[in-house]
Amino acid sequence: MVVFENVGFRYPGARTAALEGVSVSVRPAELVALLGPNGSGKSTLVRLSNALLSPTSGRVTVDGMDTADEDAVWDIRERVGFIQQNPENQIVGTIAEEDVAFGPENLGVAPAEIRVRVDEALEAVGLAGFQRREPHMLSEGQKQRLAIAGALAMRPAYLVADEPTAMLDPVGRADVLRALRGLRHQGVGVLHVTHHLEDVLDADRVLVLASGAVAFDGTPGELVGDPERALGLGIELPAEVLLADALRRGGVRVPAGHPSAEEIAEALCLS
Amino acid sequence: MRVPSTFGQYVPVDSPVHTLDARAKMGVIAAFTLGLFLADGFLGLAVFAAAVAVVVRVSRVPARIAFRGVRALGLILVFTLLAHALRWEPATVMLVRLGPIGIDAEGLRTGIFFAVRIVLLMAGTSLLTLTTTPVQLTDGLESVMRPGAALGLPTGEIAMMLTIALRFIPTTAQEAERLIIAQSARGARFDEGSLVARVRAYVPVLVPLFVNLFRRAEDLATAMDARCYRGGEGRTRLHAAVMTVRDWLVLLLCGIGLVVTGIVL
Repeated sequence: MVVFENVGFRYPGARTAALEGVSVSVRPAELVALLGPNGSGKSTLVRLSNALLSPTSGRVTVDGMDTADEDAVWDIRERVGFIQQNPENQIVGTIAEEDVAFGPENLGVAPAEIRVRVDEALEAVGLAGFQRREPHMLSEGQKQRLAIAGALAMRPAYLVADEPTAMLDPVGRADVLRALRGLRHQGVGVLHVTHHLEDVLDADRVLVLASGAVAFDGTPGELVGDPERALGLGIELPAEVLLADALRRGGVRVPAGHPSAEEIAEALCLS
Repeated sequence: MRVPSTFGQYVPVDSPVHTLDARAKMGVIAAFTLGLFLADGFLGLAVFAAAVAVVVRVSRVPARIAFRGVRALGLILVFTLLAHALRWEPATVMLVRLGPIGIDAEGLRTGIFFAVRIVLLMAGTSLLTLTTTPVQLTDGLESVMRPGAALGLPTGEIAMMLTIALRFIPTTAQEAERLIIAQSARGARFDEGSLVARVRAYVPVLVPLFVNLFRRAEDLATAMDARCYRGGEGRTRLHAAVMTVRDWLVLLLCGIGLVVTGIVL
């Protein structure tokens, strides 16, 4: 489990803390969404989870290992995979399989085992057969899935994704979301940072950060069921949710939660 | 967007040449170059040309791509040809004569000889990069440089730097193209005015290009950190390059064959 205990972080020279009093956790096989406006501390939180940053107060542990412990840094990074917003800038290899192999190579994994891991990881993100493809011959969505494969090949227990769909077109976004969903079934705990609640409606939990503190910690259903609260947190709800909410207030009996467009249409026809 | 194709860019097909160890290929290319310079007749060049043709065929690299680099040599070839063929009077045998300048048969022969040699050298050496991934190349270099590691040379790090440089060439080229289009859309002209004006026109392209490169470098460093890169020590490789019997045989037989051909013909 990745555990944040009352974590605070202040960048050197900054007047205000980027994070303060944050206590959150991510379990294996759990999908946790992290939302919040720009500057709310999302990226800082992400970088604290794999020892790219160390907390200035409080404690972050990964399966019991303290990220402030310098001897544990590499074990922690092996357990916590990390992908960034810009798909291009995190690809090291000149062809897909060499990039996926980069992590295991750094861990000193035996070549035959790397081969197995590379092929499995590419398969898991839907890029089987792309082994020899050069990165610039891939779409942005494919590059991002390649980055996920690169993290998977290290056999992480957790994957932290910092706005992985922000630079993608709708198709690329859907593919990346599907790849991230798949991880949950493999037992990988995912922390998915995003601006779009609709990306993470099936998350186990949603965290909302505001000015460096946790402003909401609950299920997506709670946010969807309470549009006013979501609005107060600065979260844009999916169009269907807003429409359903407006219809309900107008007396139309729309199913609760996050109804599909078809369900809304049906409710309208029946009213 | 059209990807600017760099000369000698890896062609991803499967062939016996592709699977050959990079070091063996480097050795054969060295022997090829040596043999080519030792050869002093057209018969020798013909043998080397046949060798290149056979390797192109076996490597399954389209001939069009294998010889693409030759076009870039156009000016050098013309210059080589003219430098040897053109004669001032009073040369004896002239094929063509225009005032004081004429084309000399012997000179033309020499010019063609050197031009063909350059073309073969280009085609032969580009086969190395066409059939070897940049990473295999840098791995090969790293392994050839290995004795230097004993002298404190950071061979693993040098190889990694080369790999990353190669990895980002197409990305940077695409970005430059995008910036040039963006600046053109705002009225920048890259093709008129004095040389100074033209160079100045590229400043608004180069500045954002470098700013973005620094940003990329930062992101990439973070990504490498997150994937546990800590220098060359203790790293394993997906393709642990091992010189097989086949690699050694190819290296020795081709190497000896090419050098001997060069000496004899």
